[in-house]
Amino acid sequence: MQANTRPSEAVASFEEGQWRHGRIQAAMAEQGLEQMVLVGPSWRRENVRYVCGVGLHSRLSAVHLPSSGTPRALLSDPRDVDAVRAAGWVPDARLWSEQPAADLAASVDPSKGQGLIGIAHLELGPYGMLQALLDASAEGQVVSATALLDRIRLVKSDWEVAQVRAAAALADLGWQAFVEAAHAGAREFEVVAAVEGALKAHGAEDNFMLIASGGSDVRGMTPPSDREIRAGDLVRTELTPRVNGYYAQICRTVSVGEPNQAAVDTFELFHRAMVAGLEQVRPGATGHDIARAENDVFRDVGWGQYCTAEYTRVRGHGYGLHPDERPTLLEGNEDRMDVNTTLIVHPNTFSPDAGYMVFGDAVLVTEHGHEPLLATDRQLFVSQA
Amino acid sequence: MKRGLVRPADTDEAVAELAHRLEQLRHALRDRKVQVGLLYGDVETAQPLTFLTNVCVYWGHAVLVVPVNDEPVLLTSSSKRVHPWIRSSSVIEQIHTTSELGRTAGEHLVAAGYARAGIVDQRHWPSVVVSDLTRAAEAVALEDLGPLARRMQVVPSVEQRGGLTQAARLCHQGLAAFRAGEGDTAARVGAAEHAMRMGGATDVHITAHPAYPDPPEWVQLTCHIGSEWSTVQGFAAAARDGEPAPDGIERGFAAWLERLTPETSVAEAEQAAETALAREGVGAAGVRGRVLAHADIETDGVFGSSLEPEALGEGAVVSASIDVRLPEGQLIRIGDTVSIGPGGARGLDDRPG
Repeated sequence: MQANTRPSEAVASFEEGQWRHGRIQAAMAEQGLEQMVLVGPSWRRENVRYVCGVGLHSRLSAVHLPSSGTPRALLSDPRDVDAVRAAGWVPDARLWSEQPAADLAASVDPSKGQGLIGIAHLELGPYGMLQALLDASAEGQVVSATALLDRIRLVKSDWEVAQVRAAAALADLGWQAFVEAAHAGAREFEVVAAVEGALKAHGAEDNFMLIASGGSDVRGMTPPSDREIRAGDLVRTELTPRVNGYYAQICRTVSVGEPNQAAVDTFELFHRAMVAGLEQVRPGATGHDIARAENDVFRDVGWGQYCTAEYTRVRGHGYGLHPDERPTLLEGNEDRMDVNTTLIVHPNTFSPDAGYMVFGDAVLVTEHGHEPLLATDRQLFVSQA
Repeated sequence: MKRGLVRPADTDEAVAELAHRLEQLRHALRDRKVQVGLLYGDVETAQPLTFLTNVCVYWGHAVLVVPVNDEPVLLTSSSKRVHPWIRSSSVIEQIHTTSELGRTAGEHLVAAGYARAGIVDQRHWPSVVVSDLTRAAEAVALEDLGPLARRMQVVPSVEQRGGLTQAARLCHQGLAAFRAGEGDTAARVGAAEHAMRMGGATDVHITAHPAYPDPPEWVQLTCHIGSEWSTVQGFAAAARDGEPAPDGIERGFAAWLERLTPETSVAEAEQAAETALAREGVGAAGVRGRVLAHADIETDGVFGSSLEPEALGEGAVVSASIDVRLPEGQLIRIGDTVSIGPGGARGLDDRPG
């Protein structure tokens, strides 16, 4: 496993685009796919961005990538047509007509041959974009290529890693803003406003963020309410800024005023779990390996139940062009780390003594293990009561 | 992404308004002779679900089942841990978590004994979810009802108009904060974002477009509060004397808004933009007027318009915008969210658009 040597620059180069297209086309050849379609419903545009090299405003987008020949981007926003053409990775960029499904079916034209058509995000492609293509295809001709693209994007180029590093630096900055804002008397949404304002002011394009404030009754994080933060609360967040398309995440908890002993002891357990998980992160390790190491720490103190789906979702995950992508850190998951995989290890879950506790660090998989991407201290923070 | 303030539907007035909206939908479903309606939403595009129930889909995707004679049911990809929060912030009581929305929805229809069901906005649904639904509910006649829930909202209720007005005000506050901001573009975006979120926005999208020597930078700000969306596009600096390009475009835009009356068809409205700009002497390689119902802002209309094409209608709230393709190739967009009246379109707080 060898780290590739893509150049780092603010704008992805034409060569970066060729490298990405080449990886997809190589995987298509391995899988016997004659054509690839990457569909982008508004909430999952990452694959389209991956092959176009620019951020997208389009609420509906797709790229048709044949095994040979010119790729075509179909977009709903004229700004994107300009930007995609200018980037040059997909020179044939055009607006959808009034009938997107007919446009896509005509571009792919499954009647031309019996070759397999892979569709990335087949599971999410809107009926109004995809159905005519599915109807025109022979039985078994269309297959999902979602996992294939997930695997490709799991290993980042050095240019992509540079963007993740920039996002991680903003995650550190966002956490500082969070601690300053999460004081007694502030409302949850005001804390989020402070973080969002700070992140955007420093160049973030977007941010995924959840929050929860309160005591041991807190079971998970949600969007903010107008609840007023009080002395003695724990305030938890995962915040995930995006820079040049790439996300990086930080998970931390802050105590409003000095924490009680239960919170301190619970944090120590979570700290041990995260370190145990991080110790497993290396090329070849699986999501299962890392999750099991985290969960064993909880099981050792009789808290194994809090590692189940009743109390938590995952024990960490990858990020890149989407804030939550492969590898998935769950026992039983065989997603395998490679050099230049970016992930967060976060043993976030409910605890009976301190409620939902949030703690996790973003790292980069390196040849001999991993490299931390965050500079924020691994501690239970304290804010003004 | 939805990471701003989510207000719970916890007042008598809010609950009554949502009950009224659900009853309106049930009435429309009965007119279409179906026993149940199914609505789909994802983390970025779930306006009708929020409009009907105040559910905030902040992760994954969901299907809302609305029987004509029973309470609604939410099928969601979010975990059971979130059910208490969904119940506390919406009028939904019955929630099921599933990773297979189509199959679960189909099984629900079969178990409830429905013979005819309507899929609202089928174009928006993932094809796979529709086919799973169809397979699991083979005995149920399924019909695409198109933009039924969006069309109900073209002329908003007093309560919804209040939310739209608040969202529009936040957009204009954001634009003012951007214009008044100091530092580089990012710093000004940050100032606008902070102002809008402190005002209670559920979500904010701000895009600043590059400053050219000529023409100047323009910015698009979109805000939603609950299910109400508003958007505004304007120049990054207010028009000043001696800057003919933005001034001419703004005057042309204002003149165009006066043409947007209740009797105007959508096509006439959109075509009138070119004339309005030409009269102001704006040289352009292309002009595209666009009128989009407020409930279509979140999808940018990609799943079809909910406006009746024949006439905009009195009291309709729309995003009205003009794309100007300058001779040098750059694109400028200017627009506002406005209400249609006999004297033309006006801003939601009764200022000119």
